[in-house]
Amino acid sequence: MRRLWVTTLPTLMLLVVLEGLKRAGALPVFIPGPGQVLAAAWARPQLLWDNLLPTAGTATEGFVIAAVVTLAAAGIGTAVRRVWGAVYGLGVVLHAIPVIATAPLLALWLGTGAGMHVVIVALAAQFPLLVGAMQGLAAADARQIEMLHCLSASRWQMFRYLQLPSALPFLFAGFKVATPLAVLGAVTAEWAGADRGIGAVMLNALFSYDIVTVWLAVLTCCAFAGLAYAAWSLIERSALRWNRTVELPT
Amino acid sequence: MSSRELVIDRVSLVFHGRGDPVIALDSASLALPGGGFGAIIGPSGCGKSTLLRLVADILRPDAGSIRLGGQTQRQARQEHAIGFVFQQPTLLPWRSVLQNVELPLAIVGRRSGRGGALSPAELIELVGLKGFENALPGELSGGMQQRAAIARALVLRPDILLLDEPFGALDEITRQRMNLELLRIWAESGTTALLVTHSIAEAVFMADRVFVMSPRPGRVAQTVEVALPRPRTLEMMRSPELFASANEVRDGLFGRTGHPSAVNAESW
Ligand SMILES: Nc1ncnc2c1ncn2[C@@H]1O[C@H](COP(=O)(O)OP(=O)(O)OP(=O)(O)O)[C@@H](O)[C@H]1O
Ligand SMILES: [Mg+2]
Repeated sequence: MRRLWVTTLPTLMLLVVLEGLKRAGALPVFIPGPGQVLAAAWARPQLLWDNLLPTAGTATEGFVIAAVVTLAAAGIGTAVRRVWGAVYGLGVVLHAIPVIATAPLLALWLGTGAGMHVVIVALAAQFPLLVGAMQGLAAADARQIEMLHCLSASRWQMFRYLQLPSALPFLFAGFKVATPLAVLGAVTAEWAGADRGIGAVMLNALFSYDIVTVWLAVLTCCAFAGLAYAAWSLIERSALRWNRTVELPT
Repeated sequence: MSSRELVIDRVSLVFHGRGDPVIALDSASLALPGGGFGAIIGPSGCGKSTLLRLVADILRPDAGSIRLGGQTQRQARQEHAIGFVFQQPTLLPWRSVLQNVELPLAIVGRRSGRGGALSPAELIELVGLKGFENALPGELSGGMQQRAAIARALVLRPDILLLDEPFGALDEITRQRMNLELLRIWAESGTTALLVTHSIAEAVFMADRVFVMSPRPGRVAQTVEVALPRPRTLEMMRSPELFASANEVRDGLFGRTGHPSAVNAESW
């Protein structure tokens, strides 16, 4: 509970400061006060739900696909050392593609449906997932590998008993970095063509100078990404209890 | 049969790391009868760990051959006939002590070891870790971790047990107790045991045959037969036979011997 406070307090304080500034008239007109945004959300909860759910769905779907593909790619890169560099290279190049520019092109190829959205999310989130998987699968201790080799462990057993558990801290780091990227990817994809979703709400509000709704969409994205991050932290804490047996003086 | 004769015949190995190649072993030979207890002693860096890793088929020799009960080291490993206690405990940090000791069983896909093998719980009690079954390795002292690693090496009841300074991290009292326990387990199981140690007294007290290694290049310079009867008792630590063998080993280590050449495996 204390941890929760420590994590969320700076954000809450920022919101309070913004509200104070707005009431004092110190903020320009294109920055609404958090109170106004909250009131807008309160007034139209249906708008929020109807549009958050498709965005969250696409972000989750693309994230899962990217996680599975990068883990498989990292598995191949680890098993066949000759392609290790090639896998990394492909990841870097895909990551360097500016999604904002390619989204309209992908919309031309794949249409503006769910498929295009998921592909963009996967592209936006893949690199941290790939790095986490590659570094993680290579992180197994050489002496542990010898120990399992001496027991004639199969490739699969080596993966299951050693490589996967050693990779977990790295995988979780990748998950945490990739989560907001997936949300961002979903919004970007919706900009390229969608009639529902937070990105669509944002774009429509921008065109009609509905500043409050733009900010409502922005904050909804932040809140969703923050919650997803918190969920990863909780899972990580219970999955990696062995990793925190060192107690440093405080 | 649950023991195997170990014959290492003129084995050589060169490490090609960064920099100059290191001749870790040059024509090293030794022989240990089935069910025998051998000890390897020699200065740091002379290739003791390397020799054990060759026997366990972790490294391949550049030349020479290794036979365990007539089989190659690869066949022996694939039959799960080799137990290895490494110089570091190498426990999996995310598994409890019990789960670590059970790991070899999980890998061979059996619930218990071969006939007559002790259960994981019994082995944990034997090495004095009762009450710590559910502790994680990070919560144990170095010596406790090493004892858990010994229990793990015994759980499949191996035909040949390789021990690389297993008691280096233990205090004198625990070490003495573990040595006696190890001798008891060894005598009961009939396994062939090969122990690396830095202690002359420990080598002579434990082994039937002490192999003295010399460095650069690593080879077995001398073999000392220990004439003490079994079972060994702590009183024997003061016996003249032990003293004589210890002196012989000391002479081998410090080069005051008339026959420093490697002992040929065929002569056994
Ligand atoms: N993986 C490796 N790559 C390169 N050189 C190595 C490697 N492993 C060992 N060596 C070298 O081989 C030699 C023998 O090493 P080894 O570990 O067998 O020594 P040791 O007798 O077990 O020493 P200690 O008593 O300190 O454990 C050393 O000179 C070491 O530098
Ligand atoms: Mg060593």
